[in-house]
Amino acid sequence: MAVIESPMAGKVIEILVEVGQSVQEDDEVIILEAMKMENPVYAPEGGVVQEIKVEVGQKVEEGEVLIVLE
Amino acid sequence: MSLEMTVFVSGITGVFLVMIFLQIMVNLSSKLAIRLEKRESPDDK
Amino acid sequence: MDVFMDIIMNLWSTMAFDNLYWGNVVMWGIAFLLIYLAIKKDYEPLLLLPIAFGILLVNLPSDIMKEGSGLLWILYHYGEEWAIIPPLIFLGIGAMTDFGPVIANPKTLLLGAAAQGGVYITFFGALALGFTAAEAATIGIIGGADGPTTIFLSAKLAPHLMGVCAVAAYSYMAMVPIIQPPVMKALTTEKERKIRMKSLRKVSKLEKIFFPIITAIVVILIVPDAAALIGMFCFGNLMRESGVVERLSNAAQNELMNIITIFLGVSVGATMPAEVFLTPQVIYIFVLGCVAFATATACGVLLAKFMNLFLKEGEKINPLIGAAGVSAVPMAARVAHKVGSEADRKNYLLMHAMGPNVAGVIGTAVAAGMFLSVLK
Repeated sequence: MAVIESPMAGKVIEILVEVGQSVQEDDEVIILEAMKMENPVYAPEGGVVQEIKVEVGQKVEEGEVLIVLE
Repeated sequence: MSLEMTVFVSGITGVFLVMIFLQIMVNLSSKLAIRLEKRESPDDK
Repeated sequence: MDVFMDIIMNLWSTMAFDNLYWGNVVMWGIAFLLIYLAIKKDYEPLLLLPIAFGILLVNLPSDIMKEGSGLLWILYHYGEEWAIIPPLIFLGIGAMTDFGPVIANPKTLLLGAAAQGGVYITFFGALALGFTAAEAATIGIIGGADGPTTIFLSAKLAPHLMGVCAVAAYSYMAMVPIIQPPVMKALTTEKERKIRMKSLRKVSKLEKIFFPIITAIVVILIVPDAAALIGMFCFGNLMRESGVVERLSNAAQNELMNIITIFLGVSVGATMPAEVFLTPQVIYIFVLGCVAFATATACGVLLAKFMNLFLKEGEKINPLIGAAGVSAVPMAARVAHKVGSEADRKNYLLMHAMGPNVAGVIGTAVAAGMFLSVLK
């Protein structure tokens, strides 16, 4: 089991995966917006999405858990 | 020293002097702020 | 029939066509170009659009810029010549700026200072091209990438260059994503661009309240000539961080800022009648402005590399964020982030780059203050 942490403070503007979906390492999973710039967040390793902890529009801090992988 | 060199030397020294002092003062004020906040709420964190 | 001709002639003489000369028409072209860039290319439209329209107005024969009574002259006189508007814009910028990244990593203040090196290199470049010291200072400050500071300094040192320098500063600011990356890549290795910086610590509210107070005291004691800009800047930031005067902080960021931006833009544009603008000097200023941006970027990157020599492994800074010392907020920080993510797409430099970025704003204001202290 692994978690995907937010690499930077920002606002979630798009979630690209669903619970149950399997992802590969380096897949884009979430788009964060900061300073009017869209920043993709990549999966650190492959796995199946078990839980998405955030929703679109939510503000996140650096290091906050975004997604739990199985 | 010519006017141009005076402008240059004083300018560069001024800018770096400000930033170095500011860096020291910001470090100190951060320490003070963190200490003050700890005292205010000892059970926090 | 004669009567009819008289009427026509009288009518003609009240019109403005007689006073038009070819230079005005060239200036219309420049105004149209700026309007096009603002609307179509999104180049700093908030400023370039009003400036462009100001250029158009002043190049239509009328007394709109007449000393003492013309509308735009009055705006110019009280706004810029008296140096009221640039400090008020700084009040708004202060209220918009989050100094968290600087407080968390105060080393970045030095990067904000280093980028001012470009200002001084350009200063010498302008001297070499035959500008006076006061003019050269105004041209050099373009490299700070700070519109209000450029206007502030030129009002005091070289009012005849205000319009040109402002247009150069704002148009190059829009071109930061084109000017900076080649310089940044030339000066860094792939490995350096891949440096990941350790995450910024969380900054408490009290630290953020202390920051503007400390900054105002330190800067104004050392450089009293920067007091107008830095004083307002810090005041704006204190309003923001105090959290108790949200109404004032919002007014400074929104209503006040918008209103003075209109006045500033249109009256800066009005300082550019054809007689003043259409000189070979203007070309020099645009070339020097570009040099200023590039050298400022280089100085920032090089100081970051120099600082890395003394920093422990794991504490090292990515030299790309040095380029964000060019204070075009937040464009320069975005560029640093983008170039970094090209080398390593999981490298998120944006917030780290905001440190030198906002420090650069202070740095440019200080550099302007130092110019004033010697040259005014």
